[in-house]
This record gives sequence, structure tokens and C-alpha cells, in this order.
Amino acid sequence: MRDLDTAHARIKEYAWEPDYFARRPMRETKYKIPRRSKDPFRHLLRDYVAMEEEKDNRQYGALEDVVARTRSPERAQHRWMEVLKPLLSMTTCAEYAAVKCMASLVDTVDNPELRQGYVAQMLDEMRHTNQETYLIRYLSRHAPDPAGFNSALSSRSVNPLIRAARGAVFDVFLNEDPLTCSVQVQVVGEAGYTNAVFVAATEIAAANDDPATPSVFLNIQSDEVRHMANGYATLSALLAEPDNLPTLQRDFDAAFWRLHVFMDSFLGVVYDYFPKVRLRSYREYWEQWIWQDWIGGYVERLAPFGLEVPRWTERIRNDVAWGGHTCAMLAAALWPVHYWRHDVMEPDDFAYLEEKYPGWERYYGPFWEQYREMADPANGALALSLIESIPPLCRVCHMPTVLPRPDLADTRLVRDADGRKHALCSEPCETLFREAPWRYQCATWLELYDGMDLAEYIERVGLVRTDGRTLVGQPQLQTDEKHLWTIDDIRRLGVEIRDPLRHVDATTLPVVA
Amino acid sequence: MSGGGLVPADVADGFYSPRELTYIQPAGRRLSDYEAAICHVQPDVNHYDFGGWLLAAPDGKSLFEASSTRLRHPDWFQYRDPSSLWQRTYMRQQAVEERAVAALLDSARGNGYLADLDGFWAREILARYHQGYAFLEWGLFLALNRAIRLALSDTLTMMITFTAVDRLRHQQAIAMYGLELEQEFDGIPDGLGRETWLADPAYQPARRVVERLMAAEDWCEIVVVCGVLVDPLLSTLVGRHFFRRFASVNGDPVTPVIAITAERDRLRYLKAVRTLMEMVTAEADRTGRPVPAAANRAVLQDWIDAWGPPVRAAIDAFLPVFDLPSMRPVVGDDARDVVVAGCVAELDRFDLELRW
Repeated sequence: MRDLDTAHARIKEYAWEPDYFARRPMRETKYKIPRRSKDPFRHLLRDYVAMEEEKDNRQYGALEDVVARTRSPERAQHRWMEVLKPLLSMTTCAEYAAVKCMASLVDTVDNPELRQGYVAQMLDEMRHTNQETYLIRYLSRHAPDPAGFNSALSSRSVNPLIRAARGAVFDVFLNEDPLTCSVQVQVVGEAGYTNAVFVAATEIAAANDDPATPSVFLNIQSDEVRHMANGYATLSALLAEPDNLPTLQRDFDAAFWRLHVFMDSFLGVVYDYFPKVRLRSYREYWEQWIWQDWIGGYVERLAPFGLEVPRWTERIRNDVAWGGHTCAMLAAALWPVHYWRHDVMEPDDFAYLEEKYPGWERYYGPFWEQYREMADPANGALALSLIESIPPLCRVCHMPTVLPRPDLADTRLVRDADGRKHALCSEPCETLFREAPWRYQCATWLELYDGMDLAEYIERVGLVRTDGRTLVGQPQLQTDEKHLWTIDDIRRLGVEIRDPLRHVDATTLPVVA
Repeated sequence: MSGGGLVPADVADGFYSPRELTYIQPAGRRLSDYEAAICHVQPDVNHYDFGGWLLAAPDGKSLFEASSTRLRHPDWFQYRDPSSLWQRTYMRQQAVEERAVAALLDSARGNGYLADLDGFWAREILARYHQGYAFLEWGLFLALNRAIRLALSDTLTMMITFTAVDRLRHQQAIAMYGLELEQEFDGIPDGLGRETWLADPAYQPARRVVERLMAAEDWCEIVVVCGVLVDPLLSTLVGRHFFRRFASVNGDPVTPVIAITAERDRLRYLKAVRTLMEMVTAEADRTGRPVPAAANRAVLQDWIDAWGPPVRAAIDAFLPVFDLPSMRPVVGDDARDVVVAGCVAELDRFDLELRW
């Protein structure tokens, strides 16, 4: 095309106002949207398909030719490879949600500039979904331990901790006003967290001799930059209408909290507990990518337009120091129900964690000492016995109600008008719950499996390997038979899954109308 | 105790675990790349995501509603797109199509082919009706886009996504060619295509169909009506029998290539919709569970009855355009007979009738 500006303008001129049939969007929005705004993407499909084809060739070429031929996934640090199982099953969920979220935005937002951006992003998100499932299958074939990769998209659904990911990056990305979803996906998820996921994971993976993940993640991140521009264009359009501001602020506050409460705890576990070769702590990554770059560089620039830093930001910043560690401890205690192996902490891990998080050893050191002892099935004890009980799960975010640290948690127990008991992990989750309790009625993992024998649960959800005995989850990375836990070991211990809310007297709890 | 880098002898291959994805039931003997790329990325409370959705919509609705379509199936996740396209293969295919169009445009511009176009064809037909046709493609994109959000499985979502983007590609290709022609032929005013789409009697029944499809709320209805009525009758009559066949004899080397790439996409979509209709009109699903085939067939016939007459009006209204160019390789009525016969044959596969 001779004149790209003219071409970009021309392709947007094919929408019209229907005369014969009135068209209502699938979901109405509470926001006012200007009819025209700035084009964030400025791509012709012709250029887009050529660009993405080239990027695909680079990434898939690298995986198919170089990485597979050199058998490099086998040389990666085993501990790091384990955490890719939950990490990839979570990111895949988010990418796919974003496909449908973009379709929803295209349907609702009658603005040609924004629509062009959403369409291109929709294709990108399908691309990322396929890239990540490709990587999951690739690692099933080439990683040292395929268990958990080969079941990633079914196991994620029944895992007590990763199930919360669905709430944070699927249900919340889709089941709202489409513009609220845009705030969640583009403004907080992509602008705030994708660097913390894709860039940080890339450099850690590379340091831990995993060349496959960086090939995919960096390729993906090159698209995410454009999605951030989409989010900014959407925000700018919304801020152009002053009436939108109170609603936008409320959505912004909730969006940051909802992503934080799962993502920061999860990424804390990923980055602080699974690399053998460490680069930076999660808190350091958080300070750089979320605090300085996103809050400092992106969010604060919106202040002149009236949008304030999200309401619970200071609290979130404080919680990041401990949330990941508490989650890691719980995750380790629950190792038999995981589709990954949760390794022990070595002396150098202790030293690193104490250095990066002064006070860590006092709060978490004793657990990890005993965890190491209990890792051997010959000792006949589960690390689960090291914690008083599995804490109740929050009705809103489905995370354990002991965050950020058991002694700092502000858990609240309430009942609704029907007498149903609800645990809420914090003031922000209680605020969301009180706004619309009918939206949060899903049973928690503990309610679903309360009273079930642990061994029965493990068998039912397919966490036994093909020899019929060895568990998928293990509390260490040993592969010597004598160190491997089997279903018989679990059965022998006779552990019952218990929801601590079971015995709480509902009549003693405050009522939420 | 902790493992470091690999010590191959330590690890039995597979470590008591298959080296293939276990959560997908392949449609064939082996799991395909296509299935691995998409199957079960969409969480589903009837498959692995026990216990329901974690967040209801503000109006109390679920993320996905069986009532989003009148068709019923025990497991929409069993759908497989017969093209087996996933993002990489789709992108590669579309890049090839676009390169062909772009290369041809470059040559046409560089070698002066555009000057050979029949002036009436360029000014009166392409500037008005071809550009108008791009509006139809945009409208189909918008209609199909709604089905992307509502579709009840990932394999259907991906197929519909690619189909919607096809339409956007066609719209943009026509738009870009229009710009070239405006630069080549002085005096073609901007906006003739819009004017034609919005006011010319030849397009008003088509616009009525497209606007109705854009307003439709049943995602399967959108997918099926587009696949077995709008595409085979309207788009094939206009895109293939008019623009592709007439362009060559009117000195236009570019329109046929754009049209051929669009036809290829439509044929792929027809097969995809055929597979969907086979799935909902089968007596049982892949695992032997009953499918309400008779009820589904009745719904399909309802849709054909409801949409057939307006689509017929759309093709009939366009027929006079066949008489406008000076060079005419085919008579409109004959083209109409061909597309109707094709549609009837397609519906006959499912014991459905075109009753108009």
C-alpha cells in the first residue's frame, strides 16, 4: 500500500449503524464509550499475518530443531521444570480467557479504533494459547518427568491452590461487564503482571538451563507490549468521559486486588522456591515490574485524569513480602495432591531466603527443616501434620485464609441469610463479597472434598503414576524407588480431608445480608 | 536429596508416566497437533472443573449457558474442525493468501495493469458494488464474533475465531484494492461503497440479512445460517459468480485472486459447519450418549425456514447487477440456479429442505 495512514483509516470505515434490525450487545456496559478515539494497534491483517508467521517460524523452529535435537529440556534443572506444570496450566487459562474477553469487547464497544485493537489481540491470545499448549506437550515429551505436564489442563482444575487461578484469570476475565474485564485483563493483567510472568520467568528459565520456556515466553511478550497499548487506549477512552471515573476507580481497585491475591502468592512460590540458580527474589521482581514500572510509570501518569492508585496498593505491597512464603509452605504441606513435585529446601535456599526476606527463617525455617525429614516415606509422616489444619478457603478468591502470614491474617468468618458459612481472607475480599454475595456461591475445594480419605481423593483425580502405586506429587525430586511415596503409604496414614468450617457453629457468626 | 541437572541413568524414561497428553480423548487413533493445541483449554464444569464457576455474572448468569443456543449436545468438546487448523497453520495459510494478493497488486501497479481495467467496471462496479460487498464481510465478522464469546467449547471457539477473521481479511483486501483504484482512476469519489451498501436496492435485502445476523443471539444459529445459507447462496453468487467471473473479462486481474482466496476460506468453513451439523444430528455422541437428533434437526429446519426467504430476496435483488457490465460471461439467473442447487444439495445431506 502506498500510504499506510490512509490504509489504516480506510479499513475502519466499514461499520455502519443498522437500520433494519436493532442490535444489542451480548452484555451492556455501565460505561460511556466515545464513538471515536486513538487507534492503538494500526495493523492491517496483511502485515499482521506476515509478522506473526515469521515469529511462529522462529519459535517453533527453535523448539523443533535445536532444542529437541540437543535434548536440552533434559538438562534443565529438575526443580525448575516442576513448577512449569502449574505455571503453564495457569497461563494457558488466562490466554484463552482473553480470546473470549476480546470477542466480548468487540461486541460491546462501538468504537472502530478500539475494535481494531481488540481484534488483533484476540488473534494474539489464540496464538499464545496454542503456543503454551504446544510447550506443555513438548515438555510432556522431553522433560525429565512428564507427569503433570501430560495432565496439566485437567489437574489444574482439581488442585486446591491452582483452582483459585481459574477464579483470578478466567472467571474474572470473562464474567463481568466487558469493560470491567478489559481493566482486569489489559490494564492490570497485561500492563501490570505480564512482565512479572513472561520476562522474569524467561530469565530464570534461561539461568536454570531451560531453553524451551524462553523461546515461547519472549515470543509471547513481544505481543503483550501491544496489548498494553490496547489497555491504555481503552483507559484513555473511558477517562475521556468524566462520568466513568467512579465506576472505573472501583473496577480498578477490585481488579488489582483480585489479581494480586492469587498471582503474587503464586509467583512468589514459583520464583522463590523452584529455581536452583537464583537471580532475584520475587519481591525484587515485584518492586521493579509492579511498583516502579506499573504503579510508578503507568498508573501514576493517569493521576491528572482523576484515576488514583488502586485502593489496596499499600497493603498489597506489604503482603508481597510474606504471601508467597505462606503459600509455599501450604503448597508443600499439601504435596500429595499436586501434579508437580515439591522439592525440599537446602541450606543455600535457607540462606538465600533469609537474606532476601529477613525474618524468613523464624517464621518458615522450622517447617522446612521438618519437611525435609518427612520427605522420606520411611519416616511414615506427612508434612500436612506440621500445620494445624488446612486453613479455610476464601469464598471470593478461593485462596487459603492465612495470607499474608498466619499471624498477620485478617480472616473473617460470616454467614449469609440462609445460614451458609463463608470464610473471607481479608477486608478487600469481604468488601467484594458484601457488594454482591450471590456472585460468590461456588463451593471451595475443601467443601467439595470434605470428609474424603486423602488416598481416595488422589486416586479419583488421577494423581497416581502408571505403575499403579507411585504418586505424581512427591515431597522431593528423588527418583530412587525407595524414596518415592506410593498410594499405599498414603492409605496407611489414613488422612481425611477436613474443612475446618465444618465444626464452626454458624449461629455464632455475623450475618451478611 | 535435591535433584540438580540431569543424571540420565537416574530417571526412567517417562518415570511411570505417558509422554503424551492424557486429558484429551483423540478423535482418531492418535492425538493430533491440532487437538493438542486447543482441546480442554476452555475450563468446563462438566469436564474437569468440578464444583461450578467461581464467579457468577452481575445478573447471576454463568460463564457459559447451554441456553445460548437452541441446539443441544451432550458434549460440545467433541467437536473437531475438519481442517485441523490451529493458530500456526492458520496463520501460515493466511499469510500465503495475503502474499499472493499483495504480490499481484504490486505487479498490477508496477506494470500498469490497472490502467487496462474497463473504466465502467472500475468506476461503477468495483467502486460501488465491490466496496459495498466489503461491508457485508465486515457485518459477517461482527456476527461471527459474537459466537466466539458464546461457543460452548474451545474447538468450536477456535474454528469460529478463524472464520470471523477470514471475513475481516476479505473486507480489508477489498478495501485496500479500492484505495489502489482510487489512486489509479481519477474522480472515483470516496464513499461510493458505503452509499451503495446503505441505499442501492441491489444490496438492501442483503443488508437486511446481515443486520439480522449481527443482532442474532443464538451462536449456533449465527454459525449455521452463515455457513449453509449466506455463504453458499449470497456470498457465492456475489463473490464467485459475479466478481470473480466478471472481473477477468473486464480486464481486472486482482479481484479474481481476492475472490479465490475468500472462496477457499468459505469452502473450509462449509466443511466445518457440516461437521457441526453432523455432530448435532447424529443419534449418539462419540461415547454413545444419546443426542437429541430429531429435535436438533427441527431447530435447523426452523432456521432454514426463517432465513431462507430473506436470503433468497438478497440474491434476487443482486441479479440486476449482473446486467450492468458491458462484458458478461454468465447470466444472473443461471448463476442463481447454480448456487441454489448447491445449497439444496448441501441441506439434503441432513434431510433438510430449502422451503421458500
